[in-house]
Amino acid sequence: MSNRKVLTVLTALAMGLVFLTGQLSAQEIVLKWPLIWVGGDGKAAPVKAIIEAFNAENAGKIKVEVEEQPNYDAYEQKVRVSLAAGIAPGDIFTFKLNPATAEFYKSPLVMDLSKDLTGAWAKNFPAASIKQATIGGKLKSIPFEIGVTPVWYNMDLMNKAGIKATPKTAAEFWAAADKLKALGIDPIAQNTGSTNAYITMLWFSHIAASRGGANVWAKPITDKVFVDSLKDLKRMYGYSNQDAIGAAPAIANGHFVKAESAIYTNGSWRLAATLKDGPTVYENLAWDYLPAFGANKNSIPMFLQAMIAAGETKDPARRAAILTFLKYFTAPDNVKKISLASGAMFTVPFTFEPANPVEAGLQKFMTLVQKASFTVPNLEVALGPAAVAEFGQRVSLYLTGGATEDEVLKAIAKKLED
Amino acid sequence: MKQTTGSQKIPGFLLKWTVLSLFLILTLMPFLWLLISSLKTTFEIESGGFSFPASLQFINYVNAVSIANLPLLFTNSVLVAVLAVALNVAVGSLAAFVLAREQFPGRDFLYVALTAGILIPIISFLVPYFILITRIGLYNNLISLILIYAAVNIPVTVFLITSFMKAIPKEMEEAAVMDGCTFSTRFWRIILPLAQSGLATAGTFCFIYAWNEFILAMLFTSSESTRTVQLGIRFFQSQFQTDYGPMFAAIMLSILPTVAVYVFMHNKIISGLTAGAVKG
Amino acid sequence: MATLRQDRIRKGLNITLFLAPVIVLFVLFFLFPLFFTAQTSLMKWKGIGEMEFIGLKNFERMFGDDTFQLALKNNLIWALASGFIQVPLALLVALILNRKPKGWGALRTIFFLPNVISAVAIAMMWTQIYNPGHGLLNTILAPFFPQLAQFHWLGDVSTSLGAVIAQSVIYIGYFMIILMAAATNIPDELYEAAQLDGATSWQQEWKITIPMLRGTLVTAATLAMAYGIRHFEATFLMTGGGPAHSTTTMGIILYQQMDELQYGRAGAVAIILIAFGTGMIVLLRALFGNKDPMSDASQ
Repeated sequence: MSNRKVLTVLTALAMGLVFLTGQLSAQEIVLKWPLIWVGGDGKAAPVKAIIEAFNAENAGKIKVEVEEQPNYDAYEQKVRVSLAAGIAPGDIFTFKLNPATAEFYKSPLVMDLSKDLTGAWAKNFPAASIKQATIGGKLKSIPFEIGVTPVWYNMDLMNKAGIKATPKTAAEFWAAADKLKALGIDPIAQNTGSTNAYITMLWFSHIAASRGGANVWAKPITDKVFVDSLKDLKRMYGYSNQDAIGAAPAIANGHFVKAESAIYTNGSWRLAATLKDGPTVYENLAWDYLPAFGANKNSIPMFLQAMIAAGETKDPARRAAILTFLKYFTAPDNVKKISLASGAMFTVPFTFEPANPVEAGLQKFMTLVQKASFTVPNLEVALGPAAVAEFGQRVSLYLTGGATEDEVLKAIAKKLED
Repeated sequence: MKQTTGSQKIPGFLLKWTVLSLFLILTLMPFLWLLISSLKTTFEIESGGFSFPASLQFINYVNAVSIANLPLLFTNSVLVAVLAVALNVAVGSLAAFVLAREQFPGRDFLYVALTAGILIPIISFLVPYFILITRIGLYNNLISLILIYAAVNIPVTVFLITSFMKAIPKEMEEAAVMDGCTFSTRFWRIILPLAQSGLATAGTFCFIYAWNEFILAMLFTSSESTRTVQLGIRFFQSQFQTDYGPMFAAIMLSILPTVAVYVFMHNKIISGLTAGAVKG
Repeated sequence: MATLRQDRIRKGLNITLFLAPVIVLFVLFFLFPLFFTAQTSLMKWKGIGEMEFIGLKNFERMFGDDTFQLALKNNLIWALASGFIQVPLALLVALILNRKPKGWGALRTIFFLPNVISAVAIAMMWTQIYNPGHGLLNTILAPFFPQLAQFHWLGDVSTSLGAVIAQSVIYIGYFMIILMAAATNIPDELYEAAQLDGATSWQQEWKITIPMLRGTLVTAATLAMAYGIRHFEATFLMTGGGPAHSTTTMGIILYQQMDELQYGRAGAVAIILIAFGTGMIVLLRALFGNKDPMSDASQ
């Protein structure tokens, strides 16, 4: 009898335990995040630490599970394909916002956060960024990482050419280019290859902003501003590395890091790599706005580099869990950790005392943004992947004398038609 | 007659070794370049050229194995590739047999339809494949990759094996038919052994495809337990820069199994069994 | 004793059973996606929301686009180069190795090696070889052709396509192993008889090996041309289709359309590519089909 009683009690206990565990695991919400900040990415370590800390804090309630996506092209493909197949790419995912990906805003699979990104949370983001991320009254992605691309100067080479400070006018800029060329180097780094002709496209964006102002990309692409900008670009090409045509950005990066070029443009994510591969170059770096080629001074290309989005869900608990995580992840303290570790820049502002050369560089980038008369997106972000691909193809021929300004711009205009 | 043979021998010999040395240089070059590059720093690789590294970066290999977790990825890749090849060659040789050795209505149409599959740029099938795989519940399951890799290679396999089976002289089969061989015995005992070099060739191509494929593997898997070795290679590519040193070390390690399969398939099967079968 | 009719039914059943697995895979992984692609090719669809039927507009746009016309032409050049340069070179090497000269086993492995190396690495090697400044090619050529010392092989529209196609000779090992595998099935007796007649090696190749390999040569050339029609990866990695679209192919345009979320147009490119290639295969079969051993091998 007593045996049976013990057995009964034990069975009841076991069943209770099973039931409880079941309840517990049912309560835990698992959020999937196909994450690009993994592997060799500068943001990998801090992002991993933040996710682990969040999971520990919410143990038994919410768990963020990472799917590693080291190859960015394949990742973008996966986001597009799964949305087209009718499945959200993840509970949390990121994308670059441009005229093509703005289409994602029409997808019912992507969560609208316009009612959520308000109040205290919204105060972490500049109003302009939130406005940029709002399309048709919907906010389907949180503006997160930004790219800022000032002009980089190797002051060691500049000094050797007899130039003491960064050029402040177009005349000084060309004079510097002439003097540097006399040293026997190709002063301006460019590349017109890969899918977006990255460095050359950035130069063109600098010039266009200086000539056309903050709303330059609202003008038709065949506007005189762009014709003149192309002419400046061609003049720059006269001072550029001979392997620029068809080259990947790594070629332009390499010339600058090896002190084979003195003038360059790229984002703050290149700070750490430049320090590692060219420590002596890094010691003598200076950053500045492109001198006014047109009427506008002190403009800087800046754009939203990564947006954080969420997969739509009908379950209020799940929705709340996603929001809890997003608020945690975008808190200024966490953003600061990611930024300082990687050199990347974010919409969320924070203050810091630079403790190493990369952080010092990062701070200079931030100062340039704060003091800029205006910021302007680059061509790729403003006009989309079709336009930038065509730009790269046509400008390669144009720079080597095989096409006219009109031909280049008309070809891009055709791509912009729809 | 004898004189012409003699005088032709020397230029023939020269020509032969010129051709072989030329191709030896051309085909060995990528391998050597990769080997040397895998021992350079990323910066040295990007700087270009065929120069030797300042110091040998064996650390690239250590990083490739440890950071990218190559051992687990290797296991998955072997599983996927071997099963895909088995399925592909089994299905392909059954079809090739009837396409090559039987007459039936619609045979030519079927043959052309299957063959035309070679032309398909698989990238245009990404959306329908994604719909298919998620609907049948095989997302993040290695079976999805096995099925797709076997299927995608069906056109090449059918095309190659059919061509090999067609080339088998009719007489070899007729004797067997006289002996009262059944349909499936003809396949198993006569045609299949005689077409082994074709099976090995098709199997090798399928293996290489399955081993090197990346986009589909990335699309249909999401956890480390289902990722293949190609992910390990891409592990060092991030959005703004690629760490070529360890990436090339991972590529070096990843090509070893393919070379082993190639050598095994071709030394053992082609030179050994088939030659014996034809003569015997 | 089975009747003739029962025999025929049994044979039909056997054929069906042998074909069933291939048909299942083909329907799932080729016909269904092909149907889906054909359907999207008639739609305006950006991957999100409802498709909008627009008839043949995507096709009209593609055929009216000079970049697409260039891609079509480039693919044709790729197909011809693959079929008529790669395959004959592969044949030459296969014939030599088939005679088992010293070290043939190692050579056979080495010649195939580029086929297993990641295209990413090989493309990077070639861009460095073709580099105008420190590239290997110009370093070799400079002493003989000083005017070429700074020439940019991949960056100049007059040489870019040639440069991208030229590098594809490293892949001949692929076709070499098909031909070598087929050559192992040629009975030794044929060569023994020819040797007794005093035929030289080259005469033996010309009179025995090549005719015996004819079917396989057609197979290899068809495969090579099919790969030429859908060529994508090496060019995409080396030039991205540039400069000025000079090296573009249908595969690259397809990829770009997907990048731009133009799934309708991407579908149209895929359908044109498949139709174009199938036409080519049918033409090849019509040209060489009557010599195809199939006609006499089957009962």
